[in-house]
Amino acid sequence: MKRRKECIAMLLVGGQGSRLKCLTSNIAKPGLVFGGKYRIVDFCLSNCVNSGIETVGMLTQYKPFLLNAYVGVGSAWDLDSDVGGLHTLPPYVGPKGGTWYKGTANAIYQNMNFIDQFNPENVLILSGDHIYKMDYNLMLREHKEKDADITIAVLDVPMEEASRFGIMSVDQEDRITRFTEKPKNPDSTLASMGIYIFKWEVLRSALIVDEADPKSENDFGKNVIPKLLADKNRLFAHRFQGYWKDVGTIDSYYFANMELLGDNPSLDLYEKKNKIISNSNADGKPPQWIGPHAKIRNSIISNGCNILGTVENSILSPGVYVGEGAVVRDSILFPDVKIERGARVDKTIMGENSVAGEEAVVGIPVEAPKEPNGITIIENNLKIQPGTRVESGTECTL
Amino acid sequence: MIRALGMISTNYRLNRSERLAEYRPISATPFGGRYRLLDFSMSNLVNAGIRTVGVVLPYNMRPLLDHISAGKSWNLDRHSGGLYMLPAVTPALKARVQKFCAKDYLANIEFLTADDAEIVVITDGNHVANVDLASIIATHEKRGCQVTLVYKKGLHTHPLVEAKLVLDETGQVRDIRRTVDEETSGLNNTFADIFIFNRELLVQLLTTTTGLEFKDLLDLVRYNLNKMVVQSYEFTGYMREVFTVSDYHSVSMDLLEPAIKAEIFDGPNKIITKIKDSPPTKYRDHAEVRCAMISNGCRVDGEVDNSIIFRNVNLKRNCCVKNSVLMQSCVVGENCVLENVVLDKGIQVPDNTVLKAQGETPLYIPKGTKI
Repeated sequence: MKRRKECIAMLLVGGQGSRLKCLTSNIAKPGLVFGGKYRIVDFCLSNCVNSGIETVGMLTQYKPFLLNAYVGVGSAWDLDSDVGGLHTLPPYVGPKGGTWYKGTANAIYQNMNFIDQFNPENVLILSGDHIYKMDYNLMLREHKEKDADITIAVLDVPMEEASRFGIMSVDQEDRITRFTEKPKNPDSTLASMGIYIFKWEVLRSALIVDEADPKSENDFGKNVIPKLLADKNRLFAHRFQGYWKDVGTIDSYYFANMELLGDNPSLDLYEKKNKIISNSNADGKPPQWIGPHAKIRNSIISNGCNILGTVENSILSPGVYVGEGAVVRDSILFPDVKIERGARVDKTIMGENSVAGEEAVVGIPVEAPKEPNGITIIENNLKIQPGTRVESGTECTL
Repeated sequence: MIRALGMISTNYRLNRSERLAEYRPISATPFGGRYRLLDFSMSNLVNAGIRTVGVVLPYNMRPLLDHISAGKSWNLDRHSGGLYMLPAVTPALKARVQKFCAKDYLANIEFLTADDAEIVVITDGNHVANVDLASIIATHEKRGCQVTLVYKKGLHTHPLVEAKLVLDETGQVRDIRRTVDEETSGLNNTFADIFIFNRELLVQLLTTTTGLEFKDLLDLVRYNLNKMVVQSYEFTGYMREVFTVSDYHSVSMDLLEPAIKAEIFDGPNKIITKIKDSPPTKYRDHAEVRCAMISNGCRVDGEVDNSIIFRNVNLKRNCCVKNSVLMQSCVVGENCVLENVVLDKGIQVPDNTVLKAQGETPLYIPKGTKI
C-alpha cells in the first residue's frame, strides 16, 4: 500500500510574461533572473522545500528549454528524491491526441493522473512568477483546522490597486463570501495571491465539471473558484503579511530589483532561516575579482564577476565583466554580460550574454523616453557595437 | 572516456606548530574565497574525465568529510564508481611527512583491484594548480611507460617533503632525491606530487614489496627505477604548495595577479567546490574596494585593498582591510584596521581594533579566538 501524501505542489511556470518584452524572448517569465544570482522560480521552489513539501509538479509550456536546464531534476533544492521529487510536466499527446494547456485549470486537469499517483489529501497550486517568502505549512495548517475545501492566500492591498487583482470579501471567520476577478469597483482590499490549497477530491471533481463546460476559459480565478463558491463549498482566506511582488512589467521588475539595494530591504535574502536557493551547481564560477581602479558603491555583485571600472546602484549577476573606465549606473546586468572598456550604461536592463562595446553609451537621457520611466532594455545575446549611442527607454532587440 | 582511477592522499602533516593545520588537515584549509585546498586535486581529477576517486583520509577527518560529503558537487555521487573514502592505516604523527604512505595504499588494495581501469592517478591535497591531467595521461599512454612523475621546474616547497628528479636526455627518471636526506641544491626539477601509474604495476609493487612500514610510494618507485620505465612530465603552469601560514598568505596574494587568477579560475576546467547557496555580495555607500577577491554573501561598507574575502564576511563601516585573508563568516567592526592578517573562520573583530603584522610573517588568528 502506498503512503498518502499530505500535500503536493503544482507549480505553473508556463507563462510567457509578454509585458516583459524581449527579456522573455527565449525563456519563460519564471526563468527570468532576479536579484543577481536568483531566478524568479527559485522563490517558489525554495518556499516549497522550506515548508517541507517534497513533491512538486512543474508545468511548463512557453519556451521551456532554459528553464528545464536550470531546474533540472531539482537537485539544487534537494528535490531529486525518490519519495516525491520534482517532475517536469509539459503538455503531451495520448491515443486520442492532445492539446496545449488552455488555461491554469486545464493544465492541472491534464495532469490529474500525475496527481493521483501520489494520492494526496491536498494540492497546493502555485504560479512561479511571484517574488515572496512564505511558509505554506501555516496555510496548510489553517486549511486543515477549518476543514476548508479551498484556502486562498490573500494580501491586503491599497484600494487603488485592488482592481488589478482577484478580490475577496470574507465573514468574521475569514470564510469567503464573494470572489470577483479584477473588479471595476472593488468592495474589499483582500487580493488573491494566486496561491491555492485544494482538497484533492474537491479539486478533482471541479476540474472535470469545468472541462465539460464549453463556455469556461479553464482558469482558476475566472471559472473554477467562482463556481465552487456558488456551489456552497467551504472557501477560506489565509491572510499573508510580508513581502510579495508581482514582477510582470518592466517597471515593476526593475523597481523590485532596485529595492534590494540599501540597508534594510523589505525582502531579506541574507537571513539564515528560509533561505532562497538558486541553482549555482553548474556554473562553478570563482569569487568576484575587483581590479586596482574599480569603484563600487551601493550595489549587489555576484560570483564570477570581474570589475575593473565603476559600478553604482546596480545589480550584477554571475560572470559579468565591467572593463577599465566603463561606468554602470542604476542598471541590472544579467549573467555573463560584458561592458567593454569605456562604455557607459545607465538605467538599463541588459539580457544574458549581451555586450556593450567599447565606448558605447546606453541609456542617454532624453526628454520624452519611449518608456515612461526611461528604462532601456537589451535583449539576450545582443551586441551593442562599439561607440553606439542608445537613447533611454529604447528596447534593443536582435 | 578516460579509463583511470584517481586517488588523493590527505594523511600527512608537518609539525603541529604549523598552526594553520592545527584544527584540520591541511587539505581541508579554506582557500581562495570559497574553496578548500583539496578542491584543486579533486577538480583536476574530475576535469580529466575520471569518475572514480578514492580519498585516503587523515585522522582528523571531520572537516574533510563535511566538505566532500558524498561528492555531489564534483558529480561523484555515482552508482558506478564515484567517491570512495579510504581509511588510512595509521594517523600521520606530527613528525611523519610521508605523503603517500605505502601501507595506507596497501590497506585499500581492494579499491585498486576491484576496478579494471588501466591507469591510476595519485596526487595530494595541498597543491594550488589547475593541471590538465587528461593530456598528462594521454602522454603517459602514448609513451607506453609504466610510471610518469609530474614535475615543476624551480618549485619551492617545504624542505621536509621536497623531492627532486634526476632526468636523462629522454626525460626518463634516473634518480629521485629527497632534500631532507640528500644534497639537492643543484637540482631544479621538483616532484609535483602527481603520479601516473599503470594500475596492475602499482598493485604488484604494493603486494610484493616486503617491509612497507615506513615507505612512501615515491620510495617504491625509486627502488625499482632500474626495473621499469619511469618517465617525467613537466608541468609549466602556475603551481604552489601550501604548508605554513606564510605560504598560505603568499599563495593567496598570488590569486590577485590577473594572469594567475585567469589561469586557475577562468579556463575551461573549473575548480569545483561545495555549494553554499549564499546570496550575492552587497556593497554599501562607504565601500572602497581595490585588488580584491570577494565571495558571495558578504556585506562591504569599508575599505578593502589587496585581500581575499571569503563567503558571508561582514565588513562594517570605515574599516580597512589590507593584504589580508578573511575566512568565512568573519565580522570586522567599524573603524578597524587589519593589515597582513589571516583570520580563520568566524572571527569577530570588535569596533576600533587594530591588527597589523609585518609582510613576511602574517598574523594568523585561529578559529575560536576571542579578540
